[in-house]
Amino acid sequence: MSIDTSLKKIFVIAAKDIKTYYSKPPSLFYGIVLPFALFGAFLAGRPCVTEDYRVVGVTVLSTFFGGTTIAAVILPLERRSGTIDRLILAPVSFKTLLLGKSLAGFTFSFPVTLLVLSIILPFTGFWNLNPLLLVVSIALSVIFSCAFGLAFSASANDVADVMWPMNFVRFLMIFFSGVFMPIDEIYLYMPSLKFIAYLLPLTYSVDAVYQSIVGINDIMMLIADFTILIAMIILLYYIAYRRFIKTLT
Amino acid sequence: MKNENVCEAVDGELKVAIEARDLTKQYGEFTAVNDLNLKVFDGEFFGLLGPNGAGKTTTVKMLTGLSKPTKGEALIMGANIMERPLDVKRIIGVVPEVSNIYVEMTAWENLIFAAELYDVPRGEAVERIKMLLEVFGLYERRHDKSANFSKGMRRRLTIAMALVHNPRVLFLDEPTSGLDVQSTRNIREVVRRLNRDGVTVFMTTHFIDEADNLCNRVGIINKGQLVALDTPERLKQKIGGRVSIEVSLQPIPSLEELKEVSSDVMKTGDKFIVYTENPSITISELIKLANAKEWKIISVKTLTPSLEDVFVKLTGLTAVDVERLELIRPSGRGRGRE
Ligand SMILES: Nc1ncnc2c1ncn2[C@@H]1O[C@H](COP(=O)(O)OP(=O)(O)OP(=O)(O)O)[C@@H](O)[C@H]1O
Ligand SMILES: [Mg+2]
Repeated sequence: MSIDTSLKKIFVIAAKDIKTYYSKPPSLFYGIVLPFALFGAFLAGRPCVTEDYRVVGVTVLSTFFGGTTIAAVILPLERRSGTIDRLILAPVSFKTLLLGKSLAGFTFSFPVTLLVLSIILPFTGFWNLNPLLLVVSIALSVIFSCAFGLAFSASANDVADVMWPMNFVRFLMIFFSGVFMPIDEIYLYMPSLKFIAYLLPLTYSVDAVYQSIVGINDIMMLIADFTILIAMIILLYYIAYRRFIKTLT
Repeated sequence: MKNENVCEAVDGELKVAIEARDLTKQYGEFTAVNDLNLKVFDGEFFGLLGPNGAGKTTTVKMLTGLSKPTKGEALIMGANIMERPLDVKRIIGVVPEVSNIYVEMTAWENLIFAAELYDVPRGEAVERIKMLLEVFGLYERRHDKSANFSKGMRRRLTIAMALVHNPRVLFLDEPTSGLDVQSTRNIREVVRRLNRDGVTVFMTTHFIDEADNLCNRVGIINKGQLVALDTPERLKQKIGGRVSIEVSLQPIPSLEELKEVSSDVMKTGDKFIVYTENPSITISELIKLANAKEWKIISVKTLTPSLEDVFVKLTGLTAVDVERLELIRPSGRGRGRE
């Protein structure tokens, strides 16, 4: 199939998903309510970490929860209603199909995150914010999250079957990746465990967003962030693809 | 839509549209479909008949690429579905056993989405969709959310969605199961007309009448094995021997009382059907029994073998089993599911 018809199909599938699944409760809760609730907590909370760090936390959580949830909800819902057969039967490659699903996650989570940020930033000031870098970091973080959600849901028949294990992993990742406080502080009493943070891809999202907002302080680390996120995205798509194919046997 | 990519498979004079070669599906230890071999020719109306759990749906899934065969291969117009899935998928339309529409969208949106998935140009799609909506009696409701559609409407929309791209080969898995007479007639009429216009049809069904009336050839599958494959008429000739006698009595006796005449008796409505190898003996015994019990004989008719008899014989079910499974009359209550 030529590239442009594949591209068209990606958009066709994403547009249908937007129409069909954005208004489902998990999408609304994790994709919209949660980021804004975090934002509220941010305004009301008593700072135990610096303000710049809290902005980074809210941003990364918004990308992570929005992207993973939408991507993870759509496939099980389609399986449940049997409509997934429609997509499998159509002359669309499975790669195209999965990309369409993640585009639906992207067009949800990316604008919501930008919106949350554009509300917060005027209150906090802009530090050394690099807009281009920030947009790229957020985009990568959202794409990573979508791939993560897809990898989890690729063979699931039920939303609940996905949400429980995924929430467990999501919260662990958030806790150990320095979303709420810098990793140096999390591992203050156990510095030898700090390697855990570097095993979790979210750490690199956090760092990339952080450097985009407060200014580049470690260019090598920034390059590492992007490289690792892209590698993770490719790996997660591969896992999603394999798991998806396996449902046909 | 035309597709020049897919080459034609020819068997003698006839073009082969669908071919199963040693098609086998195993779920763990269990074999759902076992070494199935069959050819359906271009333009044919083929019916796959079998009791619950026989492997009809599994067969359709393997033929359409929804399920990977454990062994063997499926070819559509000569192309292996696992090797050239996109070429094959462009020319087949599939109506699954369970209606699968997007209930969040309207009938119109569902059909447009289907057209887009198959690259049908917009103008052409709109014309075709209008036509399909008319044909299936859904035009007035086209902008209603399909969540509010009845089972029959969902079924018709599902079939319409399988036709948007003008498939050359159409698969239908129990298209009329559980529908009322009107929906059933509508669907049968549309499919019959498509077949007349050259579309190859592969249909699974429980309804023996449906297979008998619509299909050029019928395959009977039981426990994953294809046990018969021929035209309905030849299948009936093959089992010859057995004749059924339809008798109507007043007052209506119980099934048990008639068992005295033959162990193979079935009740249909207010009549009974008695199966026998020797009709003259059975008829005289019937008359004797009626006299003894003081029943009035309203009518007696001998019937030549029906496709149902073939089915009963080949699947090893008794006439009574078939009755219980509601396999017989399309007007009967279908199984309660979508
Ligand atoms: N995913 C699966 N896992 C395990 N067994 C399965 C699976 N799908 C089907 N089967 C089994 O395979 C057999 C054939 O099922 P299939 O759905 O093909 O029958 P069918 O002829 O379509 O029946 P029905 O008339 O009820 O639709 C059944 O015994 C069924 O339980
Ligand atoms: Mg079935």
